[in-house]
Parts: sequence; structure tokens; C-alpha cells
Amino acid sequence: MSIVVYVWILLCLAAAFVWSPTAAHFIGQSSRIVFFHVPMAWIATLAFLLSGWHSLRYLNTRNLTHDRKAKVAVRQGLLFALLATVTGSIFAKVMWGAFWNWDPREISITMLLFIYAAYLVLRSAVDDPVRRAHLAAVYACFAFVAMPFFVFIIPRVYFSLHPDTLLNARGKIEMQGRILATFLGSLAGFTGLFTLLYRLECRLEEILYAEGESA
Amino acid sequence: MPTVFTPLLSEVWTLFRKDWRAELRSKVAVNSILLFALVTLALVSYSIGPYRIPAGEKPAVLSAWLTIILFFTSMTGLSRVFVKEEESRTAETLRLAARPEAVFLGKLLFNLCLMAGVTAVVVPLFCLLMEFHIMHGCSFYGIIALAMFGLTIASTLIAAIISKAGMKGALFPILSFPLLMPILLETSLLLAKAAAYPDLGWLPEALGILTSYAGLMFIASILLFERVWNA
Repeated sequence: MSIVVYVWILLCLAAAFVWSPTAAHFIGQSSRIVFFHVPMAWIATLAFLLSGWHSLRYLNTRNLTHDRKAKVAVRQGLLFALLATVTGSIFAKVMWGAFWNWDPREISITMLLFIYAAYLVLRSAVDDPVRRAHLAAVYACFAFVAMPFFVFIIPRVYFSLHPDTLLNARGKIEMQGRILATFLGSLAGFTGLFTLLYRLECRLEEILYAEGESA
Repeated sequence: MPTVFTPLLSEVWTLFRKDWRAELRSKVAVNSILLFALVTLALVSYSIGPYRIPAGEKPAVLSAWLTIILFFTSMTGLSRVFVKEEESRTAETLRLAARPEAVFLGKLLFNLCLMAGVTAVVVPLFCLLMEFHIMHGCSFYGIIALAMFGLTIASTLIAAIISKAGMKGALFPILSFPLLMPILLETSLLLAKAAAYPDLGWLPEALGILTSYAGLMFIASILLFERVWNA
């Protein structure tokens, strides 16, 4: 499976920079960043949902495997959220003239980063593994409840310069042709990459746990 | 104990009275939270004063300052309800004596009273010192009350979490801030509107957001607290 994902990502890169045209109403080549920025933001959200799901499963089953899976999801979510922030900032600099504008979408991603970081700080502040798993799971579930406010309410209540997401407020997909194909391909490719990385790190965690080195 | 109370409410009331009496003896939480609020208020008043802000920007700037003061004030005192139980090793007894929901509701009630008292002192003082003239007083104070309600609910559960972890003092704002951000942003924006906007057409939607946040946090806290308490 990994070979397929790597080849797919390479094809996406080629399509993003060569095959796909630039979108109208965007400065220079800046629209091409959508093929990387949106998939990364999507994966950060997906990882967050995954950590919430495994935290909930941990609280119901008391099985520490779910705790480790939640931790891995948070770590990788943090990485992808960081990448989404960086790519978003590059776009903001080109389009709006500043790397950071406190746009509602920027606030949302920052809060997601803070939640992920706080989750990891909480884990490092508890020594007992069972208590750590319990407290981290509760915090992740609590954050899960607050998440709709970041993702759905804040970006819609405040004025935003951010371009429409794939499916905009009018329920229409504005992308067309090669741009849409590249975008969907990139979304699928990065989701595949995340699945690969996630499974790999979960296996690594299980090995570390078996050897008594997992934290 | 009044007989009309159900067993749960009776437990909640007993726990609240226990905390209240302990607080009246030591006055640690009230003194520290109030003094912190006053020091911050003095610092803000001294550093920017009422006349350095352009009149047009005053509602937005002062609302943001007020929200920040209330947030950091809550961070100094709200964690104490659970931390003191763990530090004085009375948490185990409490676990045996009362059901988890009663403990959470009792502590929440105490924190709500604490924040209500502090807000009642800080907000009028802030308005007085900063020459903050409010157009719709009822809406302004209603928004503050709802915001403090949501903030206190979320902070009380986080307080229970950090009471069982190391580096409690630093952990409380770190864990609380991202979860409180939606309510802080919304409060800051709404206070500015209540202070300056002549019409109140925005109010129902705003109250809906604050109420739904507080409601969701309350339900989640009630459902999750037992897991924290018995961890």
C-alpha cells in the first residue's frame, strides 16, 4: 500500500505544479497552495476526530491501546495543523500582504494547535499511565465538544477574508476541471499518507509499550 | 437540611456550604482572586488610562481588556476548589461521602458564586476607572453573566483535571485557554456591541451562541466528571 501512496503523492505534486492551471482572481501562482493547504487542514481535523473517538473508546473500555492511538492521532494532528498554518500563512502573505491577520480561520487553526499542544503537556504532567490515559481522554472529549465552535461557528460569525472552502455557503463547488481533479486527488493522496503514517506510528507505539518505553 | 431538596440537591448544598465555610475561614480564594483582579485593573488603568484610547475605538479596546482581566482573574482562583481537596488529602473522604455529580455541582456552585462576587466588584470599577460608558447596561451585564457562567463551567472541569496532575499552576491556563477561546472572543465582541451599538438586533443570536456554549460545556462536564474524579 505504501508504494501506491508514495506514487500517488508524486503524481499529485506533478499535477499541482504542472498539469493544473492557476485559478482566476488569485495573485500569481498562489492558488496552487490549495492542493496542499486544504488537505493538511482536513487531516488535522480528521486526526482530531480520531483522537476524540479513541479517547471515548478508552473511557468505555479502559483499554490502553485506545489511549496510545489517541496520542498518536494528536501528535500527527499537531504536525499537519502546523503545516496547514504555515501553508496558510504563505498564502496570506501573497494575497493579503501579511503572514498573520487573525482571520477567523486562522483563529480556528491556532486553537486546534493549542488544544493539541495542551493535550501533550497534560500527558507529560502525569506519571501514572492509567491516570494519564484517563485525564488525557477526558480532556480530548471535552475539547471535542468545543470543536464545533472553532470549525463551524467562529468562521461563520466573524467576517473572513478566507476563500470559500470546497463546498461553499451556497452549497456549490466552485472548482472545475483539472483544478478540481487535482484537488480531490491531493485530498485522497494526503489522506492515504496520513493513514500510512498513523498505522506506522501506532505499531511503533505498541512495540515501545511492549518494551516498557512508551510515555 | 430543607426536606424539599432531593438527595442530590441536598448533597450539592452541603458541599457548597462546606466549601463556603472553609473559604470564609481562610478567605484565600476570595482574597487572591480579588486582589489579582484589582492589580490587573490598576495596571491596565495606569498603562493605557481612559483618555489615551480614541473615542471611536474605546468600546472594542475596553471590552477586550475587560474580557482579558476576567479570564486571567478566573485562572487564579477557580482551580483551588479541587486542588485544595487533593493537597489536604480530603478528596478520598469526599469520594466516599458524596456522589461525583454532587461534588461537581457543589464545586461549580461555589466557583459561580466566587466569580459572581468578583465580577460584581471588578466590572463597575473597570467602567469607572476607564470611563467606559455603556449604551445598553442590561445587555452588557447579561452578556458578562452568561459568559462567566460558561467560563466557570468549563474551568471547573479543567480544575478537576489539573488537580490530579503535576505543575498545576501552569497547567490550568494552558488547558483552559483553547477551550475558552470561543466564549472569550464572542464575549469581547458582544460587550463592544452592547456598549456602543444603538440597536439590539444582534442580541438573540449572540445570546444563543453563549447559551449553547454554556449548555454544551455543562452537559459534557456532568458526563465526564466522574471519569476525572475516580481517575
